[in-house]
Amino acid sequence: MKKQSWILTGIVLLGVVIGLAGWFYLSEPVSFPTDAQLMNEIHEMFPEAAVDVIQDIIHADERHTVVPFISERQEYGLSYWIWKNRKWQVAHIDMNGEPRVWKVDQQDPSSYHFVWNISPADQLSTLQLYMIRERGQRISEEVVEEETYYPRVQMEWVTSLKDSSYGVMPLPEDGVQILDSFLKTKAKHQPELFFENFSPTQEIHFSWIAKDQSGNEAYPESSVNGDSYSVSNISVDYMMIFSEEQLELPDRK
Amino acid sequence: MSAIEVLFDFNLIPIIFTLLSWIALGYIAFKLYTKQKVKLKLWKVLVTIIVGLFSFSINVYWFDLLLRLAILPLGVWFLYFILKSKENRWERYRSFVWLGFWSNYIFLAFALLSVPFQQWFYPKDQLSTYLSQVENPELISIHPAAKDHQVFQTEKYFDQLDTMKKDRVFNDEWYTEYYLETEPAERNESFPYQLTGTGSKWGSGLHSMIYVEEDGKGILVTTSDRQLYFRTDASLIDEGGSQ
Repeated sequence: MKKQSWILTGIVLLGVVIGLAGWFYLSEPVSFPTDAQLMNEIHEMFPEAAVDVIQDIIHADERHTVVPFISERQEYGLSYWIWKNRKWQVAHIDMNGEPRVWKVDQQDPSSYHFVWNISPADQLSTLQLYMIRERGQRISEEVVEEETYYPRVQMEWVTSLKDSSYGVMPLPEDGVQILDSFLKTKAKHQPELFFENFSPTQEIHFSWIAKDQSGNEAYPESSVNGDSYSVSNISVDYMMIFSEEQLELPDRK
Repeated sequence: MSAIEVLFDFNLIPIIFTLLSWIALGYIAFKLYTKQKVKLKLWKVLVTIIVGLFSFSINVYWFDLLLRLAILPLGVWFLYFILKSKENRWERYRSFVWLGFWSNYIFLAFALLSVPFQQWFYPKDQLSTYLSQVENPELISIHPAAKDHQVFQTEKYFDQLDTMKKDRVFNDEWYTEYYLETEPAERNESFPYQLTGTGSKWGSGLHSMIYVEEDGKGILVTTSDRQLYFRTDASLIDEGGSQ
Protein backbone atom coordinates (compact mmCIF):
# COMPACT_ATOMS: atom_id res chain seq x y z
CA MET A 1 0.00 0.00 0.00
CA LYS A 2 2.73 2.39 0.97
CA LYS A 3 4.76 1.53 -2.11
CA GLN A 4 1.75 2.12 -4.34
CA SER A 5 1.07 5.55 -2.96
CA TRP A 6 4.71 6.49 -3.55
CA ILE A 7 4.43 5.45 -7.18
CA LEU A 8 1.20 7.41 -7.51
CA THR A 9 2.80 10.50 -6.00
CA GLY A 10 5.71 10.09 -8.37
CA ILE A 11 3.44 9.93 -11.39
CA VAL A 12 1.49 12.99 -10.29
CA LEU A 13 4.71 14.94 -9.65
CA LEU A 14 6.12 13.97 -13.02
CA GLY A 15 2.91 15.10 -14.69
CA VAL A 16 3.08 18.43 -12.90
CA VAL A 17 6.72 18.96 -13.90
CA ILE A 18 6.04 18.13 -17.55
CA GLY A 19 3.00 20.36 -17.50
CA LEU A 20 4.97 23.23 -16.01
CA ALA A 21 7.82 22.76 -18.46
CA GLY A 22 5.35 22.72 -21.33
CA TRP A 23 3.64 25.81 -20.03
CA PHE A 24 7.01 27.51 -19.62
CA TYR A 25 8.68 26.59 -22.89
CA LEU A 26 5.84 25.97 -25.31
CA SER A 27 3.35 28.61 -24.29
CA GLU A 28 1.71 30.74 -26.93
CA PRO A 29 3.08 34.25 -27.17
CA VAL A 30 1.13 36.96 -25.44
CA SER A 31 0.54 40.37 -26.92
CA PHE A 32 3.62 42.30 -27.87
CA PRO A 33 5.08 44.84 -25.40
CA THR A 34 4.30 48.52 -25.81
CA ASP A 35 6.79 50.91 -27.41
CA ALA A 36 7.85 52.21 -24.00
CA GLN A 37 8.51 48.69 -22.74
CA LEU A 38 10.49 47.86 -25.87
CA MET A 39 12.66 50.92 -25.45
CA ASN A 40 13.20 50.10 -21.80
CA GLU A 41 14.38 46.63 -22.53
CA ILE A 42 16.70 47.75 -25.33
CA HIS A 43 18.26 50.35 -23.04
CA GLU A 44 18.62 47.85 -20.25
CA MET A 45 20.68 45.63 -22.52
CA PHE A 46 22.38 48.31 -24.52
CA PRO A 47 22.11 51.83 -23.05
CA GLU A 48 24.15 53.34 -25.90
CA ALA A 49 21.29 52.60 -28.29
CA ALA A 50 19.46 55.76 -27.14
CA VAL A 51 16.29 54.83 -28.99
CA ASP A 52 14.14 57.78 -29.83
CA VAL A 53 11.33 56.37 -31.94
CA ILE A 54 10.03 52.84 -32.40
CA GLN A 55 9.08 52.80 -36.09
CA ASP A 56 7.10 49.61 -36.36
CA ILE A 57 6.61 46.06 -35.10
CA ILE A 58 6.88 43.40 -37.78
CA HIS A 59 6.22 39.77 -36.98
CA ALA A 60 8.40 37.39 -38.99
CA ASP A 61 6.40 34.59 -37.43
CA GLU A 62 4.50 33.97 -34.21
CA ARG A 63 7.61 33.93 -32.07
CA HIS A 64 10.04 36.13 -34.00
CA THR A 65 9.63 39.83 -34.44
CA VAL A 66 11.63 42.69 -35.90
CA VAL A 67 11.37 46.18 -34.43
CA PRO A 68 12.98 48.96 -36.49
CA PHE A 69 13.82 52.13 -34.59
CA ILE A 70 15.48 55.52 -34.91
CA SER A 71 18.01 56.61 -32.31
CA GLU A 72 18.52 60.09 -30.90
CA ARG A 73 21.59 60.32 -33.13
CA GLN A 74 19.38 59.65 -36.16
CA GLU A 75 20.68 56.14 -36.63
CA TYR A 76 18.24 53.76 -38.30
CA GLY A 77 18.57 50.53 -36.40
CA LEU A 78 16.90 47.18 -35.99
CA SER A 79 16.10 45.04 -32.99
CA TYR A 80 15.23 41.35 -33.11
CA TRP A 81 12.82 39.87 -30.58
CA ILE A 82 12.13 36.28 -29.65
CA TRP A 83 9.34 34.77 -27.58
CA LYS A 84 11.31 32.67 -25.14
CA ASN A 85 10.65 31.42 -21.63
CA ARG A 86 7.21 33.03 -21.58
CA LYS A 87 8.61 36.44 -22.40
CA TRP A 88 9.32 38.61 -25.39
CA GLN A 89 13.06 39.15 -25.23
CA VAL A 90 15.36 41.26 -27.31
CA ALA A 91 17.92 38.95 -28.93
CA HIS A 92 19.97 41.23 -31.09
CA ILE A 93 20.31 44.94 -31.80
CA ASP A 94 21.92 46.53 -34.87
CA MET A 95 22.63 50.24 -34.81
CA ASN A 96 22.76 50.29 -38.58
CA GLY A 97 20.12 48.95 -40.88
CA GLU A 98 22.12 47.68 -43.81
CA PRO A 99 20.48 44.60 -45.33
CA ARG A 100 20.92 41.35 -43.48
CA VAL A 101 19.40 37.90 -43.44
CA TRP A 102 17.72 36.68 -40.31
CA LYS A 103 17.90 32.89 -40.40
CA VAL A 104 15.26 32.17 -37.82
CA ASP A 105 15.93 28.46 -38.27
CA GLN A 106 19.20 27.75 -40.08
CA GLN A 107 17.94 24.43 -41.42
CA ASP A 108 14.72 25.83 -42.80
CA PRO A 109 15.13 28.34 -45.64
CA SER A 110 11.43 29.23 -45.49
CA SER A 111 12.21 30.92 -42.18
CA TYR A 112 14.83 33.19 -43.71
CA HIS A 113 13.99 36.89 -43.80
CA PHE A 114 15.74 39.81 -45.41
CA VAL A 115 15.70 42.78 -43.05
CA TRP A 116 16.84 46.34 -43.53
CA ASN A 117 16.39 49.87 -42.28
CA ILE A 118 18.08 52.39 -44.56
CA SER A 119 18.36 55.98 -43.39
CA PRO A 120 16.48 58.46 -45.60
CA ALA A 121 19.64 60.56 -45.46
CA ASP A 122 21.08 58.14 -48.01
CA GLN A 123 18.35 59.07 -50.48
CA LEU A 124 17.92 55.64 -51.98
CA SER A 125 14.98 54.44 -53.99
CA THR A 126 15.40 50.73 -54.57
CA LEU A 127 17.04 47.77 -52.95
CA GLN A 128 18.05 44.76 -55.05
CA LEU A 129 18.55 41.54 -53.13
CA TYR A 130 20.44 38.58 -54.52
CA MET A 131 20.96 34.93 -53.91
CA ILE A 132 24.21 33.88 -55.59
CA ARG A 133 26.14 30.72 -56.10
CA GLU A 134 29.30 31.13 -58.15
CA ARG A 135 29.72 29.07 -61.29
CA GLY A 136 32.23 26.30 -60.91
CA GLN A 137 33.79 23.45 -62.75
CA ARG A 138 36.06 20.59 -61.98
CA ILE A 139 37.71 17.84 -63.92
CA SER A 140 38.50 14.72 -62.03
CA GLU A 141 41.03 12.31 -63.40
CA GLU A 142 40.77 9.72 -60.71
CA VAL A 143 39.41 6.74 -62.53
CA VAL A 144 37.95 8.10 -65.71
CA GLU A 145 38.11 11.68 -66.73
CA GLU A 146 34.92 13.27 -65.52
CA GLU A 147 33.71 16.83 -65.71
CA THR A 148 31.55 18.46 -63.11
CA TYR A 149 29.83 21.76 -63.67
CA TYR A 150 27.93 23.98 -61.28
CA PRO A 151 25.59 26.44 -62.93
CA ARG A 152 25.62 29.93 -61.55
CA VAL A 153 22.69 30.85 -59.39
CA GLN A 154 21.80 34.51 -59.62
CA MET A 155 18.33 35.22 -58.34
CA GLU A 156 17.15 38.75 -57.81
CA TRP A 157 14.39 40.38 -55.82
CA VAL A 158 13.74 44.10 -56.01
CA THR A 159 12.00 46.18 -53.39
CA SER A 160 11.29 49.87 -53.03
CA LEU A 161 12.74 52.06 -50.32
CA LYS A 162 10.53 55.02 -51.13
CA ASP A 163 7.60 54.36 -48.84
CA SER A 164 9.42 53.27 -45.75
CA SER A 165 13.01 53.09 -44.62
CA TYR A 166 12.67 49.59 -43.21
CA GLY A 167 11.45 46.23 -44.39
CA VAL A 168 11.17 42.57 -43.49
CA MET A 169 10.84 40.28 -46.47
CA PRO A 170 10.60 36.49 -46.26
CA LEU A 171 12.88 34.74 -48.73
CA PRO A 172 10.60 34.28 -51.78
CA GLU A 173 9.30 30.80 -52.55
CA ASP A 174 11.61 30.23 -55.54
CA GLY A 175 14.63 30.96 -53.41
CA VAL A 176 13.35 28.73 -50.62
CA GLN A 177 12.98 25.81 -53.01
CA ILE A 178 16.47 26.22 -54.45
CA LEU A 179 18.06 26.50 -51.00
CA ASP A 180 16.00 23.57 -49.73
CA SER A 181 17.21 21.26 -52.46
CA PHE A 182 20.71 22.55 -51.90
CA LEU A 183 20.66 21.81 -48.18
CA LYS A 184 19.04 18.43 -48.67
CA THR A 185 21.52 17.31 -51.28
CA LYS A 186 24.41 18.53 -49.23
CA ALA A 187 23.13 17.32 -45.89
CA LYS A 188 23.55 13.70 -46.85
CA HIS A 189 26.09 12.35 -44.40
CA GLN A 190 28.61 12.05 -47.15
CA PRO A 191 32.29 11.72 -46.53
CA GLU A 192 33.40 15.22 -45.80
CA LEU A 193 36.71 14.69 -47.48
CA PHE A 194 34.82 14.20 -50.68
CA PHE A 195 32.85 17.37 -50.46
CA GLU A 196 35.84 19.46 -49.61
CA ASN A 197 37.66 18.77 -52.81
CA PHE A 198 34.44 18.68 -54.76
CA SER A 199 34.26 22.42 -55.08
CA PRO A 200 35.27 25.15 -52.70
CA THR A 201 32.72 27.55 -54.16
CA GLN A 202 29.77 25.30 -53.58
CA GLU A 203 28.11 27.81 -51.31
CA ILE A 204 25.09 29.96 -51.82
CA HIS A 205 25.31 33.44 -50.39
CA PHE A 206 23.16 36.54 -50.20
CA SER A 207 24.08 39.96 -51.48
CA TRP A 208 22.60 43.36 -52.26
CA ILE A 209 22.82 46.48 -54.39
CA ALA A 210 21.12 49.80 -53.63
CA LYS A 211 20.04 52.34 -56.24
CA ASP A 212 19.48 56.06 -55.85
CA GLN A 213 16.60 58.17 -57.18
CA SER A 214 18.06 58.32 -60.67
CA GLY A 215 18.67 54.59 -60.82
CA ASN A 216 22.40 54.64 -60.26
CA GLU A 217 24.22 52.28 -58.01
CA ALA A 218 24.70 53.94 -54.64
CA TYR A 219 26.33 53.23 -51.35
CA PRO A 220 24.25 53.97 -48.28
CA GLU A 221 26.96 55.83 -46.42
CA SER A 222 25.03 56.51 -43.24
CA SER A 223 23.39 53.09 -42.99
CA VAL A 224 26.44 50.88 -42.81
CA ASN A 225 28.22 52.11 -39.71
CA GLY A 226 27.14 51.29 -36.22
CA ASP A 227 27.55 48.73 -33.51
CA SER A 228 25.77 45.48 -33.11
CA TYR A 229 24.81 44.03 -29.82
CA SER A 230 23.89 40.39 -29.34
CA VAL A 231 22.04 39.12 -26.32
CA SER A 232 21.28 35.58 -27.37
CA ASN A 233 22.65 33.42 -30.06
CA ILE A 234 20.61 34.11 -33.18
CA SER A 235 21.84 34.21 -36.71
CA VAL A 236 21.48 37.59 -38.31
CA ASP A 237 23.89 37.28 -41.18
CA TYR A 238 25.77 40.10 -42.76
CA MET A 239 25.30 40.39 -46.53
CA MET A 240 28.14 41.47 -48.77
CA ILE A 241 27.42 44.48 -50.91
CA PHE A 242 27.48 43.59 -54.57
CA SER A 243 28.14 45.65 -57.64
CA GLU A 244 26.38 45.76 -60.98
CA GLU A 245 29.66 44.96 -62.67
CA GLN A 246 29.61 41.52 -61.11
CA LEU A 247 26.09 40.78 -62.33
CA GLU A 248 25.53 38.56 -65.31
CA LEU A 249 23.11 39.79 -67.96
CA PRO A 250 22.20 42.82 -65.84
CA ASP A 251 19.74 44.13 -68.41
CA ARG A 252 17.57 41.06 -68.42
CA LYS A 253 15.25 41.02 -65.51
CA MET B 1 5.77 20.46 -49.20
CA SER B 2 5.19 17.61 -51.62
CA ALA B 3 3.74 14.24 -50.74
CA ILE B 4 6.91 12.39 -51.63
CA GLU B 5 8.74 14.02 -48.82
CA VAL B 6 9.35 12.01 -45.69
CA LEU B 7 10.95 12.94 -42.42
CA PHE B 8 14.01 10.80 -42.91
CA ASP B 9 15.82 9.38 -45.89
CA PHE B 10 14.26 6.06 -46.65
CA ASN B 11 17.02 3.76 -47.81
CA LEU B 12 15.38 0.47 -48.62
CA ILE B 13 18.42 -1.70 -49.36
CA PRO B 14 20.49 -0.73 -46.30
CA ILE B 15 17.45 -1.26 -44.08
CA ILE B 16 16.88 -4.74 -45.47
CA PHE B 17 20.52 -5.73 -45.15
CA THR B 18 20.81 -4.38 -41.63
CA LEU B 19 17.80 -6.47 -40.71
CA LEU B 20 19.36 -9.50 -42.35
CA SER B 21 22.59 -9.05 -40.43
CA TRP B 22 20.69 -8.97 -37.15
CA ILE B 23 18.85 -12.12 -38.16
CA ALA B 24 22.19 -13.79 -38.94
CA LEU B 25 23.57 -12.68 -35.61
CA GLY B 26 20.46 -14.00 -33.84
CA TYR B 27 20.80 -17.32 -35.63
CA ILE B 28 24.44 -17.79 -34.60
CA ALA B 29 23.62 -16.80 -31.03
CA PHE B 30 20.78 -19.31 -31.00
CA LYS B 31 23.11 -22.07 -32.25
CA LEU B 32 25.69 -21.30 -29.59
CA TYR B 33 23.01 -21.16 -26.94
CA THR B 34 21.56 -24.57 -27.76
CA LYS B 35 25.05 -26.08 -27.63
CA GLN B 36 25.62 -24.88 -24.08
CA LYS B 37 25.27 -27.44 -21.33
CA VAL B 38 24.77 -24.99 -18.50
CA LYS B 39 22.30 -22.43 -19.79
CA LEU B 40 22.81 -18.78 -19.07
CA LYS B 41 19.81 -16.52 -18.62
CA LEU B 42 18.66 -15.22 -21.98
CA TRP B 43 18.83 -11.55 -21.02
CA LYS B 44 22.41 -12.05 -19.87
CA VAL B 45 23.29 -13.46 -23.28
CA LEU B 46 21.72 -10.47 -24.99
CA VAL B 47 23.52 -7.94 -22.82
CA THR B 48 26.80 -9.79 -23.27
CA ILE B 49 26.54 -9.71 -27.06
CA ILE B 50 25.63 -6.03 -27.12
CA VAL B 51 28.47 -5.06 -24.76
CA GLY B 52 30.80 -7.26 -26.80
CA LEU B 53 29.91 -5.18 -29.86
CA PHE B 54 31.71 -2.14 -28.48
CA SER B 55 35.04 -1.71 -30.08
CA PHE B 56 37.53 0.83 -31.18
CA SER B 57 37.04 1.05 -34.90
CA ILE B 58 38.33 2.98 -37.85
CA ASN B 59 36.22 4.25 -40.68
CA VAL B 60 37.39 3.54 -44.16
CA TYR B 61 35.83 4.80 -47.33
CA TRP B 62 35.73 2.20 -50.02
CA PHE B 63 34.37 3.94 -53.11
CA ASP B 64 31.22 5.55 -51.74
CA LEU B 65 30.77 3.13 -48.93
CA LEU B 66 31.64 3.88 -45.34
CA LEU B 67 33.18 0.75 -43.80
CA ARG B 68 33.62 0.42 -40.05
CA LEU B 69 36.55 -1.80 -39.24
CA ALA B 70 36.45 -2.94 -35.62
CA ILE B 71 39.99 -3.22 -34.31
CA LEU B 72 40.22 -3.19 -30.54
CA PRO B 73 37.62 -5.34 -28.76
CA LEU B 74 36.94 -2.89 -25.94
CA GLY B 75 33.69 -4.57 -24.93
CA VAL B 76 35.43 -7.93 -24.75
CA TRP B 77 38.16 -6.59 -22.47
CA PHE B 78 35.64 -4.87 -20.28
CA LEU B 79 33.60 -8.03 -19.83
CA TYR B 80 36.71 -10.07 -19.25
CA PHE B 81 37.69 -7.89 -16.29
CA ILE B 82 34.24 -8.14 -14.83
CA LEU B 83 33.70 -11.82 -15.39
CA LYS B 84 37.12 -13.25 -14.63
CA SER B 85 36.81 -12.84 -10.86
CA LYS B 86 34.65 -15.94 -10.47
CA GLU B 87 36.01 -19.23 -11.62
CA ASN B 88 34.61 -20.64 -14.86
CA ARG B 89 32.32 -17.71 -15.36
CA TRP B 90 34.37 -16.22 -18.21
CA GLU B 91 34.40 -19.59 -19.98
CA ARG B 92 30.64 -19.71 -20.00
CA TYR B 93 30.30 -16.24 -21.42
CA ARG B 94 33.30 -16.21 -23.70
CA SER B 95 31.68 -17.36 -26.92
CA PHE B 96 28.90 -14.77 -26.64
CA VAL B 97 31.32 -12.00 -25.80
CA TRP B 98 33.38 -12.72 -28.88
CA LEU B 99 30.26 -13.18 -30.98
CA GLY B 100 29.45 -9.60 -30.03
CA PHE B 101 32.80 -8.43 -31.28
CA TRP B 102 32.76 -10.47 -34.49
CA SER B 103 29.25 -9.36 -35.27
CA ASN B 104 30.87 -6.05 -36.25
CA TYR B 105 32.20 -8.02 -39.17
CA ILE B 106 28.85 -9.65 -39.83
CA PHE B 107 27.44 -6.15 -40.29
CA LEU B 108 30.35 -5.26 -42.50
CA ALA B 109 29.89 -8.36 -44.64
CA PHE B 110 26.22 -7.61 -45.15
CA ALA B 111 27.01 -3.99 -45.98
CA LEU B 112 29.37 -5.18 -48.68
CA LEU B 113 26.84 -7.72 -49.86
CA SER B 114 24.25 -4.96 -50.26
CA VAL B 115 26.36 -3.05 -52.77
CA PRO B 116 25.45 -5.06 -55.88
CA PHE B 117 21.79 -4.97 -54.84
CA GLN B 118 21.91 -1.23 -54.40
CA GLN B 119 23.44 -0.91 -57.83
CA TRP B 120 20.87 -3.29 -59.29
CA PHE B 121 17.85 -1.52 -57.81
CA TYR B 122 19.22 2.00 -58.01
CA PRO B 123 21.81 2.18 -60.80
CA LYS B 124 23.97 5.18 -60.13
CA ASP B 125 24.47 6.07 -63.75
CA GLN B 126 20.81 6.12 -64.76
CA LEU B 127 18.65 9.16 -64.89
CA SER B 128 15.56 7.23 -63.75
CA THR B 129 17.20 6.65 -60.37
CA TYR B 130 17.32 10.36 -59.66
CA LEU B 131 14.30 11.59 -61.53
CA SER B 132 11.59 8.99 -61.29
CA GLN B 133 8.67 10.73 -59.60
CA VAL B 134 7.41 13.92 -61.15
CA GLU B 135 4.60 15.13 -58.93
CA ASN B 136 4.31 18.85 -59.40
CA PRO B 137 7.22 19.86 -61.55
CA GLU B 138 8.30 23.45 -61.46
CA LEU B 139 11.07 25.04 -63.48
CA ILE B 140 12.65 27.70 -61.33
CA SER B 141 14.69 30.34 -63.09
CA ILE B 142 18.00 30.51 -61.30
CA HIS B 143 19.64 32.93 -63.71
CA PRO B 144 18.50 35.89 -65.83
CA ALA B 145 19.29 33.82 -68.94
CA ALA B 146 16.11 31.85 -68.25
CA LYS B 147 12.96 32.58 -70.20
CA ASP B 148 9.73 33.24 -68.34
CA HIS B 149 6.89 30.79 -67.90
CA GLN B 150 8.66 27.65 -68.97
CA VAL B 151 6.88 24.41 -68.20
CA PHE B 152 8.47 21.00 -67.82
CA GLN B 153 6.94 18.42 -70.13
CA THR B 154 6.58 15.42 -67.86
CA GLU B 155 5.16 13.12 -70.56
CA LYS B 156 7.89 13.94 -73.01
CA TYR B 157 10.41 13.24 -70.31
CA PHE B 158 9.12 9.76 -69.60
CA ASP B 159 8.79 9.06 -73.34
CA GLN B 160 12.40 9.90 -73.96
CA LEU B 161 13.86 8.55 -70.75
CA ASP B 162 15.17 5.37 -72.39
CA THR B 163 16.71 7.10 -75.37
CA MET B 164 18.51 9.89 -73.55
CA LYS B 165 22.23 9.79 -73.97
CA LYS B 166 24.85 10.29 -71.36
CA ASP B 167 27.25 13.02 -72.34
CA ARG B 168 30.08 15.16 -71.03
CA VAL B 169 28.83 18.37 -69.56
CA PHE B 170 31.54 20.67 -70.93
CA ASN B 171 35.07 20.80 -72.07
CA ASP B 172 37.76 22.95 -70.64
CA GLU B 173 38.18 25.16 -73.70
CA TRP B 174 34.53 25.94 -73.85
CA TYR B 175 34.41 26.81 -70.19
CA THR B 176 37.46 29.04 -70.45
CA GLU B 177 36.28 30.85 -73.52
CA TYR B 178 32.68 31.14 -72.58
CA TYR B 179 33.00 32.06 -68.92
CA LEU B 180 36.48 32.93 -67.83
CA GLU B 181 37.30 35.10 -70.84
CA THR B 182 33.91 36.76 -71.10
CA GLU B 183 32.85 39.83 -69.17
CA PRO B 184 30.24 39.05 -66.48
CA ALA B 185 27.64 41.21 -68.22
CA GLU B 186 27.88 39.05 -71.34
CA ARG B 187 27.78 35.69 -69.64
CA ASN B 188 24.89 33.48 -70.45
CA GLU B 189 24.15 30.57 -68.16
CA SER B 190 23.70 27.34 -70.09
CA PHE B 191 21.68 25.76 -67.27
CA PRO B 192 19.35 28.56 -66.18
CA TYR B 193 16.58 26.33 -64.77
CA GLN B 194 16.33 24.07 -61.79
CA LEU B 195 13.60 21.48 -61.74
CA THR B 196 11.83 21.01 -58.40
CA GLY B 197 8.82 19.04 -57.25
CA THR B 198 10.36 15.76 -58.30
CA GLY B 199 11.62 12.74 -56.45
CA SER B 200 14.21 10.03 -56.78
CA LYS B 201 13.31 6.38 -57.14
CA TRP B 202 11.29 5.00 -54.22
CA GLY B 203 13.51 3.67 -51.45
CA SER B 204 16.73 5.09 -52.82
CA GLY B 205 16.99 7.83 -50.21
CA LEU B 206 18.73 10.00 -52.78
CA HIS B 207 18.50 13.76 -53.03
CA SER B 208 19.70 15.68 -56.01
CA MET B 209 19.56 19.01 -57.74
CA ILE B 210 18.31 18.80 -61.29
CA TYR B 211 19.32 21.53 -63.71
CA VAL B 212 17.75 21.91 -67.13
CA GLU B 213 19.64 23.30 -70.07
CA GLU B 214 18.69 26.49 -71.88
CA ASP B 215 17.40 24.62 -74.93
CA GLY B 216 15.48 22.16 -72.76
CA LYS B 217 17.41 19.23 -74.19
CA GLY B 218 19.89 18.65 -71.42
CA ILE B 219 19.45 17.48 -67.85
CA LEU B 220 22.24 17.84 -65.33
CA VAL B 221 21.78 15.84 -62.13
CA THR B 222 23.93 16.86 -59.19
CA THR B 223 24.03 14.74 -56.07
CA SER B 224 26.34 15.20 -53.13
CA ASP B 225 29.02 13.08 -54.73
CA ARG B 226 28.46 12.84 -58.45
CA GLN B 227 27.06 14.48 -61.50
CA LEU B 228 25.28 13.05 -64.53
CA TYR B 229 24.49 14.77 -67.75
CA PHE B 230 21.97 13.56 -70.31
CA ARG B 231 20.90 14.90 -73.70
CA THR B 232 17.67 14.28 -75.57
CA ASP B 233 16.63 15.01 -79.14
CA ALA B 234 13.51 17.00 -78.36
CA SER B 235 13.14 19.79 -75.85
CA LEU B 236 11.57 18.90 -72.52
CA ILE B 237 10.37 22.41 -71.80
CA ASP B 238 7.75 24.50 -73.41
CA GLU B 239 6.49 28.01 -73.05
CA GLY B 240 3.31 27.91 -71.05
CA GLY B 241 2.41 24.68 -72.83
CA SER B 242 0.29 22.01 -71.25
CA GLN B 243 1.75 18.84 -69.94
